[in-house]
Amino acid sequence: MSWSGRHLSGNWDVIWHYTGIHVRLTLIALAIGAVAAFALAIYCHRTPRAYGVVLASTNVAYTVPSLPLFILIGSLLGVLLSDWPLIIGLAIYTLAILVRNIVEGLRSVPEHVRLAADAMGYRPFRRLVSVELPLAVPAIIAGLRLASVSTISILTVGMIIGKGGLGILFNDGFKRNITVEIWAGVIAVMVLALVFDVTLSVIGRVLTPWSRLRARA
Amino acid sequence: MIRLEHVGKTYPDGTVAVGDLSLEMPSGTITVLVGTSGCGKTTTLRMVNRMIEPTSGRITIDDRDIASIPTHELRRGIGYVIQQAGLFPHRKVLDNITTVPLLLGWDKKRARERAVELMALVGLDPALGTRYPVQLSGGQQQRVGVARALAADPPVLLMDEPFGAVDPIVRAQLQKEFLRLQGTVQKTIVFVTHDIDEAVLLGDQIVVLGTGATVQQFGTPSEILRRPANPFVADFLGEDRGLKLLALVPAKKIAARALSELNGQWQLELDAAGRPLGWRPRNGTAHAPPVPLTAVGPDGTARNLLDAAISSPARTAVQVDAEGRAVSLVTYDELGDHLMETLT
Repeated sequence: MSWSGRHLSGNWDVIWHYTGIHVRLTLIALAIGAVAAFALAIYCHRTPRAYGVVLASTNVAYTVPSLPLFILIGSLLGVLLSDWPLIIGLAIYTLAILVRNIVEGLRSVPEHVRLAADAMGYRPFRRLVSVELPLAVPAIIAGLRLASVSTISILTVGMIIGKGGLGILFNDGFKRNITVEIWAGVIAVMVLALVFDVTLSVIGRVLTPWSRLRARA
Repeated sequence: MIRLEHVGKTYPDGTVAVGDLSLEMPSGTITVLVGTSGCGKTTTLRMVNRMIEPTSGRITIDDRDIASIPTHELRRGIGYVIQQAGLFPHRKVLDNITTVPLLLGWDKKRARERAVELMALVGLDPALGTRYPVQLSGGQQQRVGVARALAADPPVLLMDEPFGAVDPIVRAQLQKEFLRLQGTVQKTIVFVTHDIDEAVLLGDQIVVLGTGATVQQFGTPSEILRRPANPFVADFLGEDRGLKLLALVPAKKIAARALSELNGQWQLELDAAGRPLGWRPRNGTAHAPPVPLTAVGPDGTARNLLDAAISSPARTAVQVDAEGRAVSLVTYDELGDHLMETLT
């Protein structure tokens, strides 16, 4: 599907098409990254010694520029021209952002609350699910917001390997010198990022009514 | 009864938190563990619900060795109250209180009903049930903490400086209500504090602990105040040990005289209902306002009487009834005589 003419009119279906792809890839990458991050974060929370190593590794991964990362993963997978190098690369960035936020969120649970949970007879897994994770939600949502915006933005780089949803609009617009198409792509990315950010923020607010209450004097 | 037999806790680095502690804490009473910070009193408390595992010795509750009970089961049967209340910030007050009943598998409705009942018992307005902990004052949070500990009606309650983080006025109120509550629930309570006044006020028996949780003295508040076992205990009781002892003597036990038997230069001025307004010189002018006085109520102690007597120009304490009406007088001289009789 490609842009026709030099105007916006008649091209809404093109924008929607690439937006759909962009959303799908973003969601898959976020989901994979988040699941891996939870597993790793919970492990780090229980084994504080592992946290340093994990953090150092994810930080290093995060510093690898996106394009080389996609190409590297593509060559490892043996398929460069597929969505998967992109998805896995972005999942790694998500992981890097989220692991820290989840661990810090779990660590922010006050010691006396943890102590009280133990004293009331919570077993470790139930304590994690019923007490620690709910209290870590604000930090987790903050991480997810950051990860989603960064994923949506970095995803556009995928245009270089012919993938990446809305990025294709600016690549195509640039090549064919259609300014409107470039702008359509840029604005669609921004709007999409905003929608993800606001949605996550609303979900966070709904999940944590207690976190916005002011303490009584 | 909770029994500690030669219990010790040594950490891997060699630190001895508790050396060799043997204690018996009778059922239905409040045993206060008191000592300076780092003496091992909190460690001792936490060994009772196995938050800390002893490295030697044995602890039994009603003759059951607690080491034979799975920790989560043991803890669900022991209420635990700590200084910062430890409430779950993400759960409403009612949901905090129903924690242990729900862990024990009660149905929701029954747990809720129990929670409402407990809120009333600890003096909380049921309307607060739908609030989050952060919306409560420190004193209210502490009450929720007590309600939560009592929710599943455990026979044993462990309390670690539960009133340490609230201001003195609220603390005094909570202490008073705690004693009233204990009168109703009759739990076996182990109470940790560093505050000797709190220990004297609340304890049926007090254990004064030195470094490494060595028992310096075990006895009733009055026994310990009268006869400290050693200089450490005497020092810990503080300079006003005698006055603390007076605080244990109810004012009612001191023989008083009728209002009409007031001699000397001062007279007591009463309002129409019979409530004291203050002291007035017999020969003075009627224009000057009377010297204000602090009366001693029906719950007062000998210490209150002494304070009232020495701060009165007539050297006389005025006792009032529950409605604040003056009922009797105790002079400073008489007080001294009676006190010596009562205390010896």
